Amino acid sequence: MADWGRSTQRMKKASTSEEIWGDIIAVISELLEERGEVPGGIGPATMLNADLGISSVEAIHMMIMLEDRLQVPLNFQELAVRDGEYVQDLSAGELHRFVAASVGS
Amino acid sequence: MRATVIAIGSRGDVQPLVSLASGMSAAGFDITVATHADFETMVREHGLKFRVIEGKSADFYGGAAANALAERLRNKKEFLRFFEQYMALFLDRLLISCWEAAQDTDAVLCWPWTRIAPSLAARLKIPVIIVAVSPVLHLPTWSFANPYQEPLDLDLGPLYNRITWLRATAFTKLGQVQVDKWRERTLGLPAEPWRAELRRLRRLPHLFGFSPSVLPRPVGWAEWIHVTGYWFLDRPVEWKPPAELEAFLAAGPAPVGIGFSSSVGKSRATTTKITLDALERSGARGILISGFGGLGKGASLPENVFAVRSVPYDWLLPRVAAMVHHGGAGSTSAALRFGVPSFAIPFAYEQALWGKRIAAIGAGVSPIPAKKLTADKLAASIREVMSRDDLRRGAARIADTLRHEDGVSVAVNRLIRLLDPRPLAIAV
Repeated sequence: MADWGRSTQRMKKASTSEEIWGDIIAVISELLEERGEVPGGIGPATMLNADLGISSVEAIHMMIMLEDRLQVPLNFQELAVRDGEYVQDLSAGELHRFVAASVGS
Repeated sequence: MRATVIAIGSRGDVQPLVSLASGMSAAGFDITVATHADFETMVREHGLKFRVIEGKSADFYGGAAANALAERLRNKKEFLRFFEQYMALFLDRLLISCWEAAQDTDAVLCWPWTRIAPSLAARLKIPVIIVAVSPVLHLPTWSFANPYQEPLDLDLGPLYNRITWLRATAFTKLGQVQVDKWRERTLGLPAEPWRAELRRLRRLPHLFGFSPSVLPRPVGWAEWIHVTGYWFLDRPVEWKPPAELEAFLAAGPAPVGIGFSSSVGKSRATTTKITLDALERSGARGILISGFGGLGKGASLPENVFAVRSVPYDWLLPRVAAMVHHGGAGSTSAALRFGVPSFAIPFAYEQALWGKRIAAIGAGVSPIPAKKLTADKLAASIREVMSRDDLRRGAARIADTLRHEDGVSVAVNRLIRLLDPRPLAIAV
């Protein structure tokens, strides 16, 4: 039977900050490889849009991929929307801090 | 009379509505098709006016979010959270672009999933008609269980069927905050309780572009819900295949076509590997149609397999011995139209329903749910669908039936009756 109303998100053991950073790098790399680009040299100051060309819809895909990996609900709107608009850009470090806070590590 | 068709979603959602729009245009309606920029060429190729709707279909359906949407449709809390926490700003923009698209027209035809129809009808005071190619969550039936959330293999009778649809209505509450905001800020209407909107949605005229020979009209649908037959879109210009594809087809016996459109599940690599292993075990030659989901992308392919990013199904199907697809309404109807035996690997949505209907009408074998897919099962079904004469005859029989149906004409005639305000002339 369908799982009516109950969350399917299984909380796995909380990831460490380093593990989350590793997951972020893995997910960004997958997105870039998808486009045929070679990922590399991603640091906390790397800007997702200006440096990597990640669009808002790709950012949505990226967050869903992180949810799947970490099995933790992430609120994309909270991260990426300010005053009814998508934020201009985000650094990988900001993303890391947001995800770590959501995971609670 | 002016009419605007608002078509949202992936190719399978949009293409039949372009066909319906073409039919209306031929009947004298002044038609505009409002859809995503991806489909502008398709709309204009058919001589129709185009307006843009927010969002790029390929960008969304080619990524993880599309898979999340499909999977979360089985869990009310996660489904509604997806719209609230991921899609809220996109929905705001989508709703506003639908409002803009609905200006300067005398009637709106729109797909059923975005919650625009009852509000547009209330605000514009013009006819709004729902047009769709598959049964929708807000119309319960006794005939079959709701395929969007329920398992494929339970057959517990009409009462169970009906209950599964009634339980699904909560899923139609998606984007409530955005709909309320849109009504107040854009339409100048007060927010409306979801159940009241749902009642008004159910009372709107609906046209369904599927064949009653494939899925009989569902029992319990009201008299203003019409099943017209398929809305097939013919290509206006001849398609020129890549030389390599023609060479592959000429080099051996007719292959099996395999395409899952945007549905490849969480792991494209896994689905691709299963598919390639199955082709090897079945001994069949195969053409992979990558689609938005990218089946076969990045894999090294053996000699018996050819991958193509996209190919018009009406070009490909007469050249293959069988078809394996995801059970989307469009792929299902295309295989049936060309009398090609087929079966489905349903990933989500209503795909399991179409997969079951293919087997029920004798035009293919039973579907294999994507979650249970293995190379052995896929290979066995490929061998079966390519070798059984009764399935070839069954597929040819349904193709012959479909040739005698004209869903677009039936729908256009129905629309003329719904929209034409002139009284019938009475002979004196």
